[in-house]
Amino acid sequence: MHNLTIAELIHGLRNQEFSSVELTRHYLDRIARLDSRYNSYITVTEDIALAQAKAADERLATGDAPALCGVPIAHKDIFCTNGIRTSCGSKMLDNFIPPYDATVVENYRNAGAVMLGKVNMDEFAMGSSNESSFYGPVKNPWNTNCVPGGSSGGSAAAVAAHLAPAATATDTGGSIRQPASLCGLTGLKPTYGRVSRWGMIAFASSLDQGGPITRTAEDAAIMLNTMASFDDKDSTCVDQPLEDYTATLNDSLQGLRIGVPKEYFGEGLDPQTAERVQAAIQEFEKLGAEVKEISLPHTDLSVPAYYVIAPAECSANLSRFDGVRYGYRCEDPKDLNDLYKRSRGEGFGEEVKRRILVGSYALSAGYYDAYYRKAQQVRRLIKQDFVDAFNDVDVVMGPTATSPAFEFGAKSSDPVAMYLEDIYTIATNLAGLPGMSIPCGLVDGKPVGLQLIGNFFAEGKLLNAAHQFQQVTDHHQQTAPDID
Amino acid sequence: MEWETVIGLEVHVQLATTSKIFSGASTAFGAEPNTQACAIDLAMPGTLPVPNEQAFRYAVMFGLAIEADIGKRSVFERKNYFYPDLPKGYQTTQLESPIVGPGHVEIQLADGRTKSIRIHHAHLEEDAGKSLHEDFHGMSGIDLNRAGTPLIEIVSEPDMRSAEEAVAFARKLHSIVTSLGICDGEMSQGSMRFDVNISVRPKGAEEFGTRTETKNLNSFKFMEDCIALEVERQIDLIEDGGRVIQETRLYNGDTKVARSMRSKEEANDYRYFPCPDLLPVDIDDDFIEAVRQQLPELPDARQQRFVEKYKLSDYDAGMLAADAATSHFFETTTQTCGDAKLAANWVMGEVSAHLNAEEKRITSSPVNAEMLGGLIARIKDNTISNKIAKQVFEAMWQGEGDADTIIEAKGLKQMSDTGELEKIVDDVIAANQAMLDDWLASEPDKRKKKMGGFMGPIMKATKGQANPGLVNQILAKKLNSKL
Amino acid sequence: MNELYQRQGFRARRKYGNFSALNHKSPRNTPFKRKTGPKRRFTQWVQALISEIKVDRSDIAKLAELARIEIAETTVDEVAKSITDVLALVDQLQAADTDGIAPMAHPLDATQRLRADVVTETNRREEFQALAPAAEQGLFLVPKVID
Repeated sequence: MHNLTIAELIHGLRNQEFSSVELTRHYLDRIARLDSRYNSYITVTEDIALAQAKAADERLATGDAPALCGVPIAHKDIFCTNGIRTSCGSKMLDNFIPPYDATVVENYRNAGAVMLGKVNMDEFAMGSSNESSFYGPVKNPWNTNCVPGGSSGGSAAAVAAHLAPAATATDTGGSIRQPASLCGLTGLKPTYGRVSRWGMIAFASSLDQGGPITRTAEDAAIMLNTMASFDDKDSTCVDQPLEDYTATLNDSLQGLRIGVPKEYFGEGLDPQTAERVQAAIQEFEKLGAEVKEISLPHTDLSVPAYYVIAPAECSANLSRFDGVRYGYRCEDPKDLNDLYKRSRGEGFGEEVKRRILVGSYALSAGYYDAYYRKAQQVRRLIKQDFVDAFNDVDVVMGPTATSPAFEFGAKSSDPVAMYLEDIYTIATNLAGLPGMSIPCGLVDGKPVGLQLIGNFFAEGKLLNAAHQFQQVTDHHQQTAPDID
Repeated sequence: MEWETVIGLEVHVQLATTSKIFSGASTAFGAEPNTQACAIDLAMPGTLPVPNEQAFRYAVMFGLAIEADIGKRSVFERKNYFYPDLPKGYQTTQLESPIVGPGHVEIQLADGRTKSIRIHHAHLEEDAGKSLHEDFHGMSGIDLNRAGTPLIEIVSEPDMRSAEEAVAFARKLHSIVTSLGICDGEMSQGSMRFDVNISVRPKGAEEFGTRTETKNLNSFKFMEDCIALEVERQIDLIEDGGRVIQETRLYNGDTKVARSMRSKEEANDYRYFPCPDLLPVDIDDDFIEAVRQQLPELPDARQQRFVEKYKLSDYDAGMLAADAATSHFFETTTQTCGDAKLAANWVMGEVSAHLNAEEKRITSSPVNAEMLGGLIARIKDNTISNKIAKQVFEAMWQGEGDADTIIEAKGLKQMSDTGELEKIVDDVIAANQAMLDDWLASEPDKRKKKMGGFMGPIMKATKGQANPGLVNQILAKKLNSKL
Repeated sequence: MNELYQRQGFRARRKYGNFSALNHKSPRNTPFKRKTGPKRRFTQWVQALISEIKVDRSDIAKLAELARIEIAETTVDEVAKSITDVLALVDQLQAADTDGIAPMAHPLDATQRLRADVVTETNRREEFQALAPAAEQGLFLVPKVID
């Protein structure tokens, strides 16, 4: 059962090949038995999952079943869940039980999905290796000496190890696509504003976007159908008509114009990774697509711009964690300042603190113009690169990450090396565009991801291209060894 | 040396919306602590702001009232600092693109001069909560009910040259925002708070001196006292060879003592940047026009109208027109009694004195406008005298009923029965032979004045209820007949 | 950095609501103004200075105070180094020609929706305060607040 895709599970549940309770129990058993290897879950919500599964079975029996009725999924622990601890991977929120649901969580509940639990992540979604979690690093199911990527490393590891058929995730600079790439999965970051950010704990508000990590493009389409919504509680959520992303999966790719940015194949890219990505792009040509080289001239500036904008926004977004109304408070504060400084000093991990300090610096008096304002101007240049590119092409393709999964500790002592890990994914967040990663082969037994970037609200086009690719290739069907 | 005072004001005005600027929590005053602080106001993780349209409407109303440019695109920014009454660790406010641009406010001074005070801009922002300093085992308590209440902060140019001008400006702003109905004007509840920037310079100097800012004054009286104190301090300081330091100060209106908050200032670096949870707010011409069409009458226009329609003096009209509720009270009273001059006198006299004594607002006056009109009507139709009317007013204030009920119940009706009065006058003349002799012996031009001597005993005999005009007539007739 | 911190004049550009000592005028500028001659030269001067910036221990102390984060004495040097490294990375921005480019705060050119002025929230104090490290009589408790 744990090898079935979401599409297959929906089919199986509706044809009563198995019940949701059986399915859910199967997954809960696997988690209990296997997750100590991967550390992908922070909280397993067994009782809730079984109760939801039972209710789903009743609805399935009446024939009145919503889209994901009875399908178990896991939520990244960044999405607030009413009555269930939501830690954001931080000691700061180790005791935080929100009295409200994120809109994404509510959407899945309304669609009948069963919540298996909350999955691990880099602390406050800051990281590319899942080494910054208060709950310990997550291990890559393909090679447990390697990182799963981050920040949605728990989402990716859980799906790759078949401890959940799909998981929600978030992407601020590559946090869906990079772990999907490193774990051999399909990950989709929608257009900024397509998915509500209400109840999704903010890292960098103008960059954060929720999306699914799944095994196939078809599953990603099914998941996005439920996840995407217009939400008037999020001012940045876009009131754009919802579409059925599964409806266009089978469209022909004949004449699809693919742009391959030359800047994505420069120095720093692992040659074998480049080879797999090039081969995948050639596969699209066989499907009728036209491939041409394009230029995104400001690519080099995306990491520098991002590491001003994201820390600046996070420095303010994380000020609310002050030990006053919820979350961690230090022991015996001697005065108010001591309460603030120690609660935050002890409650946040090193990477979070570093980014808050960098952000505070970039916004401080005298530096605003040279850093923040400059980064915002560069952000426009980066967006303009894509706007120009999409005049000529439908989809941009290239690598998701510079290399397959790296070993624990390889980059954790050098933040700049870690930041450069997201060099191909960050521009998409700065521009607000949808991006995807799909598996396109292995290097040394570890997966490599192909990135697809689309125009604003062109998620349907990306999913269509990815699905067609997956119809003629089997990279997405490879599973990590020894997942039982 | 002769010194000149230079004053600029920053005024925080709580907008009278029913819900908060970024959440659907109530803004009602006086609720139990933290019962009106929702997840957004508490800055719970993952919560997001959505702005209140009414706050923008009110800000635009203010902008139109001071003939300012309206910001067609305004942007919220985050002002970062840590304080327990600021749950997000930043205040959402406007900096580079405020909703209201430059405008002006006209003030009238006691000597009859008028002066135009320039407004630099006004912006929308959220209020903070409150720290309660009562002791909770050595801790402070935080109430976040007020957090997120919409404010406009009005920033003036440094155009005021005396405490009188500053207070006149502050009162005028109060008058404008209450007339617009965008603020309840309850100063004691913090609905309007003033930060006063003060500097001094030698008279005739071009350059401004170094200023200090005294924060959070919530009464006109405190503002006046505080300015006097600070101006004196600065002049003394300079004349003794010292220098004024740019600093924030705190004034205690009860003890009349001010002190520096210098230590707070040093570390402040607010790191403003555009709030990424909110988008630019576009206000189009249709919105502005719709607001303009519904703009209520402003104090200056109302004053003009009172002068023309009710023939009041500029001064009286200005006093009444300053406050929308008082204006309404006056006009209702006038309508009921038909005499604007009497109505104005009573509103500015007895009503105002009683309200001040009990620190009540006119909207909660125990004697409402209809009741006052009813009372004045009885003066006009000679049922009671002015003097008795004050007695009736007092009883009305105590809740004993309307004027007619009280006059009836207490038998205060003026005696206007000529026959009865003639008899009393005869009796009084008869009982005061000496006074009569004196009167008869007086020079003819003194007689009118001396006639007043009989009024006391007559009024006494009628328990003050005699119609004084009628008594005068009868008395003159009777005395003249004895000549 | 120390030197820049102390440059009040420059600092005042975005300092809020304050009248500068000289002219009592708020320093708010018109948004997104194109750089003019002298301003541009000044920016270049600042940029030249920034590229040589090394964050030292006292800078970390100031940032830690600003962000209210305790940095353990033993890690200050390490933090200073890593922040210097990150700033060196972001300094690549200075090479970009952004003359006349409007800053972009949001990826989409959308404008704000406004909500109707309606009370939609009810009192949930007990639920919220159950999460508080210290609350009593409906109040959140903190060490004494001194103005």
